[in-house]
Amino acid sequence: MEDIKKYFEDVADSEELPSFEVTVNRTHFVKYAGAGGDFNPIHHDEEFAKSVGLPSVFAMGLMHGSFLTRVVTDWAGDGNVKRYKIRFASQVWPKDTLTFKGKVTKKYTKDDKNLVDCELFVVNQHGENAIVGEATVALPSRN
Amino acid sequence: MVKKNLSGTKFGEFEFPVEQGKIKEFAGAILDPNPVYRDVEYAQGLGFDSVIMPVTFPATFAFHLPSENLIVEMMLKLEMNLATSVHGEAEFTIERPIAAGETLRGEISIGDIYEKEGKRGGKMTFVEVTISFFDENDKPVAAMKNVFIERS
Repeated sequence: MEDIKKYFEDVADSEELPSFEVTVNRTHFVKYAGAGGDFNPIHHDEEFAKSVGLPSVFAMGLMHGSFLTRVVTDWAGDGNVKRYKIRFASQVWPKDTLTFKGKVTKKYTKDDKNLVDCELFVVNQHGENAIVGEATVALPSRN
Repeated sequence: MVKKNLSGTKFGEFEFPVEQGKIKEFAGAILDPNPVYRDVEYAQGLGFDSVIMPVTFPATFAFHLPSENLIVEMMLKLEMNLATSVHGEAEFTIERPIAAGETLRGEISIGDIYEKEGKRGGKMTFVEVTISFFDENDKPVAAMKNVFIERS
């Protein structure tokens, strides 16, 4: 394999993964609805959302839950994620500015695989977690 | 009241063709510019057969269900209250990279159903729904486990 992004030996304890920010808007919601197949009107139909007492539409958790995968894959390389778990902690509204970030929590070898566990977060502009997640990646070794 | 006796039952099966155009569309929607989801030659240069599925791509299974409303039908059969139910959690497990051109078989099954007291009082019922994917050799290659939470 060419283009190895990360070797197991080079992972530091508590290493921070590359983070980024996105200010989300309704177009993001609609694009994810179309691509992902979640057509619950609560995520794209403002009139419907207001009719059930919400201030506006809100994002499907898997939208920013999927934006978050890049924190892991840009760092670990392609095809290395073995497990990716996200818990939806609070709702995401249009114009929220979200920070996507993560950190290494554990480095170990199991069944001849070099594994790294990471914790992951999507945090809004108020400092509240929208998503708390975790991932396990298998990395190549220099040996 | 959620019908706990449905725990452990298989709810449906479907064919899941892994399509190159759908992967590109999904990668765009999740704001990931990585060429491994768009450029076949680039992906092959990394040792893959073609562009590969993004981590959360199994979430697109809904397109391939025999009925558009299958998940809602399942929740109704479980007697879940749709108005008070939310998607609490999703966990993806991936056994190996899956490339465009493969055709997987998907299986929807109902896992554990259990209750907890909510922090603000009231009962919360947790329902696990797993979508398992098998390759052409019937080997399990990926799964998406969801937890839906009904508040009473």
